[in-house]
Amino acid sequence: MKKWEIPLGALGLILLVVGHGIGLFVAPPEAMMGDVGRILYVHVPTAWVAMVVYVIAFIAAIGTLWGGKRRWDATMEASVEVGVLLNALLLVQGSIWARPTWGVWWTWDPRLTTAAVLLVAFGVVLVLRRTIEQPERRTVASAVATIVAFVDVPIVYFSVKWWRTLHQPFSNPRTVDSDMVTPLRIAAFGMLFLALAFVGLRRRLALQRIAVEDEAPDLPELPDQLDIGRKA
Amino acid sequence: MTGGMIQGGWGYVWAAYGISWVALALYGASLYLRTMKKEGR
Repeated sequence: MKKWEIPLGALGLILLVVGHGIGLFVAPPEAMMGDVGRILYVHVPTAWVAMVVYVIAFIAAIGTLWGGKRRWDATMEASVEVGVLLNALLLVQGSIWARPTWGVWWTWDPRLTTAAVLLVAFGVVLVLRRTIEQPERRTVASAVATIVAFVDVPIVYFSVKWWRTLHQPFSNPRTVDSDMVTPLRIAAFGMLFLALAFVGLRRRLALQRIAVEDEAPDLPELPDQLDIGRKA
Repeated sequence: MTGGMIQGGWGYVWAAYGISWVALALYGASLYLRTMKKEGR
């Protein structure tokens, strides 16, 4: 089977190395944060791509409930797992960045708190997928949990606008120096391609497991405990 | 701080990049190896 994930992942890796290389060694220090500001070249792409992957999970969850296709289910499982990885990295990077800039590793700031809630909410989806053994129940429960968890994504995004927060507000290429925009964009595309390759590979594993489950013979239903008691 | 700009802090920068690269590399390698193993059956 040809794998499109390998060339896409390799391209993502190259772009990530180039973007991070420029961000670390070529881009100027940030006006206030100095060299610590270079963390943004890994932190911001991680955040953007985590949100993109969660959008894929949300679409897949809708597709799962709507059509019930196994492919949607596998896509949902894969994108939730990759999203949780990026979400966790995002919080770790943010915490490392916060220490020298805010003086604390963690604060219950709206952006940080909503991002942490997001990690827990999608973490629950992964737990459901691991703990529910009956395939149909697992599919429906995790799709519903994914949709519920996704409600937090726009809240995370708009948290810097809706509430007073320590976190930086929205920025765009007009508010950021062009020397900083270029490595940020390159790293963002690199992270996106790498994450999509991860989702693709993880989806293959999920599809293989689902195929094994579908081929397995149905087990006879166990008699109800009450029935056994009555017969005795 | 000097002139309003944080000085130093490269340790934090390397920590952030290091953790991210190691995590992505381990996850990517794990996915690749698991996929190859399953499809090799």
